[in-house]
Amino acid sequence: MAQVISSSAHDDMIHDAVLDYYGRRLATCSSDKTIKIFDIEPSSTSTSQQQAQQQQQPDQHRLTATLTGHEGAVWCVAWSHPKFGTILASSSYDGRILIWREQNAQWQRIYEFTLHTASVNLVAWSPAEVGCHLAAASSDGNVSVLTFENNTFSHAIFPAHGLGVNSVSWAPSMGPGQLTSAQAPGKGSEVQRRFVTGGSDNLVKIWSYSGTTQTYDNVATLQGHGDWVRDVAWSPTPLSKQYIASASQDHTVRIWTLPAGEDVGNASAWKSEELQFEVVVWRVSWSMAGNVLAVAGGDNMVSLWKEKLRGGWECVKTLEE
Amino acid sequence: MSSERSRRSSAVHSPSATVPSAPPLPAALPAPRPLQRARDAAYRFIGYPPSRPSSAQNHGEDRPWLSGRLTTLGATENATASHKTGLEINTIAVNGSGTHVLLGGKEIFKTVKIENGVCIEEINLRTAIRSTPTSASGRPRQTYSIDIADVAWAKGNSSHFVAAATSSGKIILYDLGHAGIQAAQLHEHFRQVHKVTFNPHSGNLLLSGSQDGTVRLWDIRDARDQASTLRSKRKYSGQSDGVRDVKWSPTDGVDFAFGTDSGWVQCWDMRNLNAPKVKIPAHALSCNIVDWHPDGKHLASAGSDKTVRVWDVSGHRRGKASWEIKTPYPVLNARWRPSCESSMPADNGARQCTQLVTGYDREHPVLHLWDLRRPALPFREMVPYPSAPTDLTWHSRDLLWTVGREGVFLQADIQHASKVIDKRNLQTFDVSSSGEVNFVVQKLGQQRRSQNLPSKRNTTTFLPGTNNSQSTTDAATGASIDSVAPRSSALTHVSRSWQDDSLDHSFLSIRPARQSKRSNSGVKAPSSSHNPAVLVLDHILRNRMSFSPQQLAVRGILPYHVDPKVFRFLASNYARIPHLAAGADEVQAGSLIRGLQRNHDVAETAGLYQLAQTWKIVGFTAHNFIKAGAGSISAVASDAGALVGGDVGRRGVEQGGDDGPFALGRLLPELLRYYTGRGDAQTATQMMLLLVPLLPCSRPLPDDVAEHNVLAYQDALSLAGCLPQEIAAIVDQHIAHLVQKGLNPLQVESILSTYHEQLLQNRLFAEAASIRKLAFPAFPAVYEDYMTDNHVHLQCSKCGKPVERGAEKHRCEGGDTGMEACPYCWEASSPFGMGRLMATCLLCNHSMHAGCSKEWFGSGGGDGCAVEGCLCRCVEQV
Repeated sequence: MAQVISSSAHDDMIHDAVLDYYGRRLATCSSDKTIKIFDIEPSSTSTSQQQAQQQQQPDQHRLTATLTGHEGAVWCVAWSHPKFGTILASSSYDGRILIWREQNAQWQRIYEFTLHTASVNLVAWSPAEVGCHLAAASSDGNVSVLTFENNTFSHAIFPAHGLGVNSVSWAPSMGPGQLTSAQAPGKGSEVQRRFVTGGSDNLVKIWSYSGTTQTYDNVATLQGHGDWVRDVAWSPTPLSKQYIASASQDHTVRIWTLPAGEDVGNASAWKSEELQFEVVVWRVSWSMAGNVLAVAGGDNMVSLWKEKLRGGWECVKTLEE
Repeated sequence: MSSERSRRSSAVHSPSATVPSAPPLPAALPAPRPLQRARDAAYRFIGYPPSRPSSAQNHGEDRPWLSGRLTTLGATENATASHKTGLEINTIAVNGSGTHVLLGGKEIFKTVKIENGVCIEEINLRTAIRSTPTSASGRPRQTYSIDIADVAWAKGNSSHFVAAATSSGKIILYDLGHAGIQAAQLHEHFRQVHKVTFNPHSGNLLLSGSQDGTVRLWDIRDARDQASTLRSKRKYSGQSDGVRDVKWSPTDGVDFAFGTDSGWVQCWDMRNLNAPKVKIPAHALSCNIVDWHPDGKHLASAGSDKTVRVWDVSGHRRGKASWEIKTPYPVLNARWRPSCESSMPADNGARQCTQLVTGYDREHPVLHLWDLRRPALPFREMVPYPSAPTDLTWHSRDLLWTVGREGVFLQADIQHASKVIDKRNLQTFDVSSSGEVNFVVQKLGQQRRSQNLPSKRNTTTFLPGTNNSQSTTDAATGASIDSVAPRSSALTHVSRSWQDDSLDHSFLSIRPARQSKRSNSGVKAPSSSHNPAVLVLDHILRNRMSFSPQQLAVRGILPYHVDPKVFRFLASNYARIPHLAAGADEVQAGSLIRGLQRNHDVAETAGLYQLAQTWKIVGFTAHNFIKAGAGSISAVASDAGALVGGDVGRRGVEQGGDDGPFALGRLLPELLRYYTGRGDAQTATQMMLLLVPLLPCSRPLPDDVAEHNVLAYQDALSLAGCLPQEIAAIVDQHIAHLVQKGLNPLQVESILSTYHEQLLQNRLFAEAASIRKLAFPAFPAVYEDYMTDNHVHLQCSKCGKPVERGAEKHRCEGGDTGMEACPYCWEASSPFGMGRLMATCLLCNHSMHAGCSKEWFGSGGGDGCAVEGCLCRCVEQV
């Protein structure tokens, strides 16, 4: 099923490779301090039925840009929603977050954030509905949120996990809780700015933006992992229950489920189910529809998990190297 | 090269040959004096002989134990050891044979013996000084506290001497045999002395660097005769700023280098007093440390400007650093790691050194071990103390000695320091909207066998095969440490799969568990005397960049994800519903039924048989529902349920069984729940669109829910800028009937907006636009992003700038608003061809890409303007 890409064009290890909103461009970043942008040129562009039934031909990758500016290994890149423009954020070992924008086929650095004192491990853009916000997780224990509004950047930075933050993931803008529960206080269509972080203190924390204090507040802390939390992912689906998956050094993935109608801030309402692995688990990611969880571990296997109709999770497929 | 070196070393011994002004140095040791006996006793105590041969011809290997991991140290054993003093330690020096360490600080000055990880305090110089009333010169000793900034341990014949630099500018020389008495006081610097260092080749030559801007050369052999009047041999000045660090070249006995407060690095030949050999503006801020690479050709300098730079000081390259490492914090300390044997077979066992340890300012306690081959991030890191270590030195290839403000001397095994890369996620994957997965993993490498299997080698001695190695071994110097590697263990050696010089594994090892495979003993025994030279740094770095990341990138379709092709096919072929109507008359009902039928056909064509069956059942139910008016259809529904075992069908039918007339009303919420649970917004949308008009308004939501919904929408709409009467109308027309039919409008909105998002991601702009139209004006979440900033759409015919909306003349009025994005595709250039060309409707002034416009109107999908809320019929349907 898979197409193997062998030539990376990077001089060193690739740390992240991200497809843009339309899946037509690939941004990769590497220890060689650069970011590279590839255009993916599909062999067939038509969407007609006949084409759909044809054998898929391998896509072509064409290197279109190399962005330099970081002074350390670049860990993470993230594309913003296209409605804000072609914007790419990158974070690096040098503790900086750089924001790049493409205009007239030229990439420019439009912002530099230097308040982190240690490696910035992960950056993530918020869902487009809540605006153009970028959350960053840093080894210095802080989380920062950059907001791009009216062509300027503002920021908030606050301590989150004392021993370092490894991952951050935004909640879908419209929580399913409000779809089905009439009791939910406040305005139903209020856009929610929430995200979840995972840190080296083995905790998973949920943060919510408070419009009145203009701060991000820790509304719930989920305990359970016995080692570093490497990655967290909040399921993007607004259609049913809320799910957060967290991957840990302790060889487990926990899937935290919040039943529809419960308050996100109620830590005891989040029920977790543990998936056991034989190796350290590096990454978790939900499919766009939010119903398939992909888990990558130290053994180079990616396993896919689906929730069973009767509850519980089953491994539906594993991919290897 | 060796002839050159011998020439230089001979120059060391007879500097008078080249510099006439210097007094002749004593050629031989003076006759034993009464003091000698006590000194010899101390030697026996400390464990090295009084007459160690000069190591001038030692080819730079002044500290032979540096070459490998200690034999007494098991490979998996953690050689960490510590010695607590409780007093702040400023500085550390190691003796010529690596057995003892000298600790200096404001209230501490003593030697500690380190053997097999056990630290034993030996001579407490400070106590001895305090208890001795007289100085060496016989005069009564002044009572003053010595604030020691740096200490150095003399080498070779003079190795019983230690020097302490003080903040007052004095350098005090002590003879360990007479610990209490100052052997000499060197007082020529008038400001603080930052560093003192002994020449590795002629262990009696001392250099001192001071804040007064000078470096002075002293010969401590003179201390015996002229304890009180010892004068410096040379003075090197010529710069106005303080000298932070000074170091002798490891290969050339007459060269030294220093770094200054204003960031300059200078290299001097000690025979030439006039000018430096090399002078480099190395750092923007102060240069705090310099350290020679063991090849003698390169010099690393590090400073407060958070950089470590490596310079070629052999004179061939000027002006530009050969390599540079950006560190996270200001660097106060940096040391090359002792070289180790290269694993490249071509090097024939030559030694290489590419790693460097750095320490930072007080607030940053971490130590980083960098490798120039991967300068972007540190290789290993460790945090020995709560605050930054004040001084550090390498004992051997794996053992790093540090001291700190907490008063602890620590011997750390660098092999047990954590690798920075291990803290990183080494895999990445990304799932795109269309279900494509892209992931990059570390190739599970074929375990590369190490090239220098110790068992292949004649592992005889641990010492490098230099001419005087035998004598050094014979010396009692820490024999227990510098012992011969047992041959038997050499046979049991397994490949050290993670040795630090084989880059790929050490850096890319993704399984820390591998560390346990470290072979026993792990002595990187340098092969006896066939190539002990240290490889020149450029040779390693320039010619060996053959390193390629062992990574694998894979792209493919995520299984169990909606196939984008199927999704697109369904989206473009499903029946189009113009709007979410409140009710349906006969004709509309007929078209809805046909729509259900069509959807069945489409699903069947796509090979989704279960989905097709569901459509069929729904269609059947709806058909009967209409036929019977509000008549009983539960029986029919049950029949249908019996025919197909579809999970969905049965769910709906079971629900319908008890309450006939409302079967359809129950069926729809059930279906919606099922499909939203699966994340299938497409089917849910279609179901909703086709069935809602048919539903009777007889199953209203509970009042509180309805109330909540209506309030929510009133808020949302007023935020969207609607007038109160508009809001009322919208709620009446578009929301009230949903509530009446038992559907939660918020859920409807979320389904629509999710489907809309999915359509956009699949670049089905026409379908997305039709969903937006359908959602207008009731569900702002779906369309509001596409409503904003759409009002400037005329381009000035003169300057190309956009014209404000409503401008009569097609000329711009000096506005500098940027060109708005196409309301259809939101991209800079149209995905349907014709590039950035915009087409503007002259009636409503809305514009879009010409290519998009062709797609929008041409595909028949769009009637009217593509901008939501605009009722303009830009193109008349033919």
